[in-house]
Amino acid sequence: MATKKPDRFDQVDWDEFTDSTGLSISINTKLMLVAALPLVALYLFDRFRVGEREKTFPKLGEDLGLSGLFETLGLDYNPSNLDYLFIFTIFVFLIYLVLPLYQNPRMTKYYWSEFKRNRPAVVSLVWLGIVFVGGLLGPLFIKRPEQDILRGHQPPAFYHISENHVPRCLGEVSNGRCHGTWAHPLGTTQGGKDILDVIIHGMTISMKIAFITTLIVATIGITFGTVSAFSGGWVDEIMMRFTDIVISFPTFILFLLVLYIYGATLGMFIFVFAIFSWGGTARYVRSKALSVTEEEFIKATNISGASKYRIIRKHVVPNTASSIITQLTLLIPGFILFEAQLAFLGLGDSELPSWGQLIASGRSDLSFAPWIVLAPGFVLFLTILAFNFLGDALLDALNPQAEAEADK
Amino acid sequence: MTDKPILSVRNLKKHYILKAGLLNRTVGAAKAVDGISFDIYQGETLGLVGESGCGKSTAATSIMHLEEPTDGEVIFNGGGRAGESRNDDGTHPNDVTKFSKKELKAFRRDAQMIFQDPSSSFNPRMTVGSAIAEMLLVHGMDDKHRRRAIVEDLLERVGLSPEDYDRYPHEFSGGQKQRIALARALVLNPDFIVADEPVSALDVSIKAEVLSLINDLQEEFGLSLLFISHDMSVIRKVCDRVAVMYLGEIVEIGKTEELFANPQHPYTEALLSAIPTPDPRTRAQGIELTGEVPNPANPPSGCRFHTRCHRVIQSNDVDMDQDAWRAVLNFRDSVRSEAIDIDLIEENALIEEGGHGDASDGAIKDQIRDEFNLPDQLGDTSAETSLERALDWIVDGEMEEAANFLSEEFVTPCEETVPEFTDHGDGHRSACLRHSEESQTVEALADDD
Repeated sequence: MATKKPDRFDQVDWDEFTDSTGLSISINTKLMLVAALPLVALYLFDRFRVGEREKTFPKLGEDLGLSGLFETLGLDYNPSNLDYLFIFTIFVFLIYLVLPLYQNPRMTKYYWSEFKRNRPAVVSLVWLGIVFVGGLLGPLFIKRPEQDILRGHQPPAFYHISENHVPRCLGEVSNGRCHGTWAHPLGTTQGGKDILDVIIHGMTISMKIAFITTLIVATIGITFGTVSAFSGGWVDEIMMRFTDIVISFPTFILFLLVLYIYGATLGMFIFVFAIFSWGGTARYVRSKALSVTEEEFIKATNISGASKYRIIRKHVVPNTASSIITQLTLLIPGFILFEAQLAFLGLGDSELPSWGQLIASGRSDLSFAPWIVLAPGFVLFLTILAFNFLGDALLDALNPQAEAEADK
Repeated sequence: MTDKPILSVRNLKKHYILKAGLLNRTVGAAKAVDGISFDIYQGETLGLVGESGCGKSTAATSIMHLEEPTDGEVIFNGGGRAGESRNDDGTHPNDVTKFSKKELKAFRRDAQMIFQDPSSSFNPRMTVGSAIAEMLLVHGMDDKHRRRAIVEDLLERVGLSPEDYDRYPHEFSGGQKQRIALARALVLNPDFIVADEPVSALDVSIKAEVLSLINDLQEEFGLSLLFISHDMSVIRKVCDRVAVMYLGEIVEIGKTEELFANPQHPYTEALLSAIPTPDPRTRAQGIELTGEVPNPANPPSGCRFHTRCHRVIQSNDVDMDQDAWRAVLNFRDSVRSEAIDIDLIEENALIEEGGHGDASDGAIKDQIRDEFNLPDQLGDTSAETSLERALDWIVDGEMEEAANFLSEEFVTPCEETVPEFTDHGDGHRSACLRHSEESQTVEALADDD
């Protein structure tokens, strides 16, 4: 005790500390604010400044006096409401899911070593990475495919069909058969749209479905579940009975109704299905939160004098996260598949370059042009399979406690 | 000032309301802790011992105000509160149970707790360093580097390395985690720590290491400890004084050496006899407690231990072997709670007899005596007649009759009178009727002869 070292626990003068809540804004939240502010600003600009028939970015260039620059950079996008939401969701994903992996390298290393034991899941992750990047960046480089009847029914490269089916063969014609070209590696549809291009644009749509529904479901589900678990009593009772109603709600019928009244836009699909799909997540989060609350580390944190908000935010929610992530990963393929099914039945927006629409457009030509159905069908199949594998592997990898207990 | 206890618990109660049915009606209360009182002095370790389910942990959480106690006072004089004295209306300004939110938070800095299960006492998604540092953060230390420096220093003190700050709980063994738990309890520099079975989940060798670490830290920082355990041998090693708890009540309290050398309460005796001896040649002379652990929602009347006590007092008009008396009381309780399966006994009797058809009454009675460890002949003639009569009823299937009769005939003072504490000198006190009534009973027996 002779030398005065200030950094020892028994020499802290606690009277000099004012009572704080112990909550400071994390770097992630700051980043999120920085990222979201321009997005919100752009959205508001779009909403109030840009006319119905104007495009957002050219108008922005005009207003900023940078039209020339915008034109040379090719900035002529006109994002829809769904695009804003999608970009916002991507920010949330990057900042609250990917960045923490970088911030906690030890944990990430551990997760990865657990995760990579599951080979199919690693392959799935690579595939989903391709779909993610393709969906995010593809539309920036590849124009939305246009109708061109003359280019219809071109076979894929390395494939050939009878010349009779092709309006004008772009490739080599031999023995009365039209060969595919590298101009259209996966062939074209009846309307002459390049299938690879449509698939890449379809990636965007699948990613929009995956990310936006996940954001909505997770937000409502986690909030509802934790509030319900911590309120207890009649609040809990009412909230859970409401959840039961949401779960038993005939969403499909509601969607048909909405479809006839407002039309079947992608946004409407996402909104309707996400709004009625959080029930399972809420239940799951509630039960998980209740079991986590019984753990001794919650008692220990209680004894530290931490606020209830801090306990929920820092201890309960992160410990329910692994199960939530797993559950959501298994929920996503359901949405993507459902969109494809509705599109196939002709209940979607036929203008939408989604995989389902592509499959639907090929169903009448199946006898001679199977690639129109097969290519997107295969991509859809792989994506759904990949999500399932991923969910399975995450379940194993994200639960270090189960692992530690198994080691005993 | 120095003789003022750092913590005094007065008549602390924690009852859990039991609810049942559709309308959630209150049907009773489980009396987990039912009026315990003790003091802990500066630098002292008080052991709280008892079997599982006797309310030790509930007592701890109630003292720490993790749960709201039903009744009673917990007066905490640590952390510079020593100067306070009782208000005029009888309440104490240092009563934890009446602390405001702000006072409670300050109390959290001066009193901490270590938990039993090292595997669940850390958030698996937080590095252990940040779990410890969180305590500092919660109490307002915003300086990240200072937090880290303090925690790293502390990790070294508990025998780990500063690099362990960034590791996750699953990367540590049980013993290491308990060291970290100790660091977490220490980091706010408390005066008082509750250790709830801190070593019972650990291997023997690691147990000893952690115990000696606790001892060293206690000496260095003048900590007071409430050490909860069910293991008498651990208690003996670390505690200055011991309180023995049974079914929500303290039955005996005293200095460790005194209590171990000269246990006054039969329950303490039974616990002590259960300590294994290292010599394999000595046969365990364990006192076997008969009967079941009673339900805390409906504790036995009088002395709560009387349903299992091997020294249960015989009524004035009875004089028999103590084991036989215990057996008779157990038999009575079984008849009363209708725990006797007469059909099964008949079957067994028939097998014993090796006959066919129905077993004879005599054989059934012998079988009952066998199963309840009742001797063939009770030492006391009038008691023997009564027992025989009750057995007759049972054989005839008139259980209620038998139960009423047995309840009238065999009564122990233990179930009628709640024992008061008897002082055995030097703060050694126990709550057993034998001490207050011993002389009386002896006199009564002498009159009988």
